[in-house]
Amino acid sequence: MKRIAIEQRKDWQLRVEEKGLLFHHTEEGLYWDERAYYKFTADQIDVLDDATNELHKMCLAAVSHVIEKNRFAELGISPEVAEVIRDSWRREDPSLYDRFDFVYDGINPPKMLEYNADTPTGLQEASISQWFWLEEVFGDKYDQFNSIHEKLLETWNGLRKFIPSNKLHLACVAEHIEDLVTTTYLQDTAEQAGIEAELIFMGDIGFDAEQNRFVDMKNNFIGSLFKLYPWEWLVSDQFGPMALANYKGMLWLEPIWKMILSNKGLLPILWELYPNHENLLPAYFDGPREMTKYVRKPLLSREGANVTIFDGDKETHTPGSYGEEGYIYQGLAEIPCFDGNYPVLGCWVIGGHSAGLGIRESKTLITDNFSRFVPHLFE
Amino acid sequence: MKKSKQIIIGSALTALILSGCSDGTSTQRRCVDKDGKILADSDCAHEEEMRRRGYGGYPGNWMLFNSHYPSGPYVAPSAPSHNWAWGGAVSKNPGGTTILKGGSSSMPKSSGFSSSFRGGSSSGTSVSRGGFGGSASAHSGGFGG
Repeated sequence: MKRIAIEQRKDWQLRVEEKGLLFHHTEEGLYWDERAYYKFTADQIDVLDDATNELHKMCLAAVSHVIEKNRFAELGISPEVAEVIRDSWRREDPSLYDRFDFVYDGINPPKMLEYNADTPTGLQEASISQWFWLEEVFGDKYDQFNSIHEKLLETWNGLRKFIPSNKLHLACVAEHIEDLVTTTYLQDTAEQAGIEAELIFMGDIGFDAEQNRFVDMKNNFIGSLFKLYPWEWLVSDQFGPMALANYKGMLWLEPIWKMILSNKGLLPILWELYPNHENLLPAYFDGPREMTKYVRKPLLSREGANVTIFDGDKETHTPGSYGEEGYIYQGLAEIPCFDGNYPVLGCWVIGGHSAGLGIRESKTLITDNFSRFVPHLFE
Repeated sequence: MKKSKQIIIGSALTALILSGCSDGTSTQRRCVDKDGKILADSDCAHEEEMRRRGYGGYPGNWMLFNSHYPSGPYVAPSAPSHNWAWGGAVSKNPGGTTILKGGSSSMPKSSGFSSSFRGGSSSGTSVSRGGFGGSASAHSGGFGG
């Protein structure tokens, strides 16, 4: 695993925009950063592929464990929501996609930081932008860990039997370009798989009190809804009780049982179930225990918010609005430093199978909202 | 691992890509000033061309879309200056609005949806909206560390 500096394509902004990446900058600078790339060997990619598949199975076993042992309270999940999760899991409500975040140096086994299983973003850039970058810059010389697009088409095709009248609504918040691109890309792949798909913003979803149904902007009933919107927000919103009451009458993507996987409480539960597993970091609910270098994470934090790193005498804290729901303590991963950059590897799971890799790197140990997406390849 | 086929970008993503100021349809332009006022086409075209040539944009630029979305065009009252659609640097800050409501490029589909599940359409008289997403800033996913 190497980080290799390279000249940007002359018209790179146009190139990535033409393929749908409309947010190539953040307020702090580049988001899409092709001034460098990461190069792996095929063996290293196999390691990531295998770890992704194995951890996904372990995570599903952890969901089953939480439900069976009724450990919802430790995850801050209310009994009312837990009941719907139980039903959803029992029915085997289908899922579309997930993304692991790994620390990896190319030598030691990858370590799982967390599982973004409810509302993962960064999909278009991992699937499309970096693939066209590879083709345009290197032609057929190298390969890329990336079958995301193909697996999305396959998975949507498999989901068709769960979608009433073959009609799917996809929803995201209106104010966020990253969410809109991710949702539109999923709409695009659903349509390519033969599904009639329509975008709606979360705030525009209506509820018909007489019919007890959710409706779109034309007051047509919503029978299937992909929502790029966290379940913990959804159940807390004004329409939350209606969503819970109507859960069985609709197809929800992601399903509500994903609340267990996207909760940081998954990490100590995995460590209990699989102690000393080579792809896990120690993690606990009740405190750092024996750890002297560790990270305190809110159960529901996103984008690195409200994370505190305890590294010996040093403490680093990120701002945010999470934490009231409780924390977990996870061993501090040794993120390798490449030329002053700290990469975190996002390994995608599509339809339950390992599907590809997207890398974001930061100047600090905490990967946040302004971290840059850097393409990769392997030989 | 090698891809067996080329990635084809379909109509939804293509529409999103094309939906900015540069869609070439003057009536669809949505270039607005800092007060949210829609600018004249000539001003919009001028800025659009500047942006095309310069690219990169300024941090904080805004991405605007046309009025294909069912709820129609909407201009945020707090939209900052230099808010151009094509090629602008777009905030990813969850606290900073970057897309105006109603900004999707997705064309409304047929209203003939009739679900065999529990389908049909509502009369609309008993429909309320805004019960999702009202208080939450837009954000999701995230590579935590």
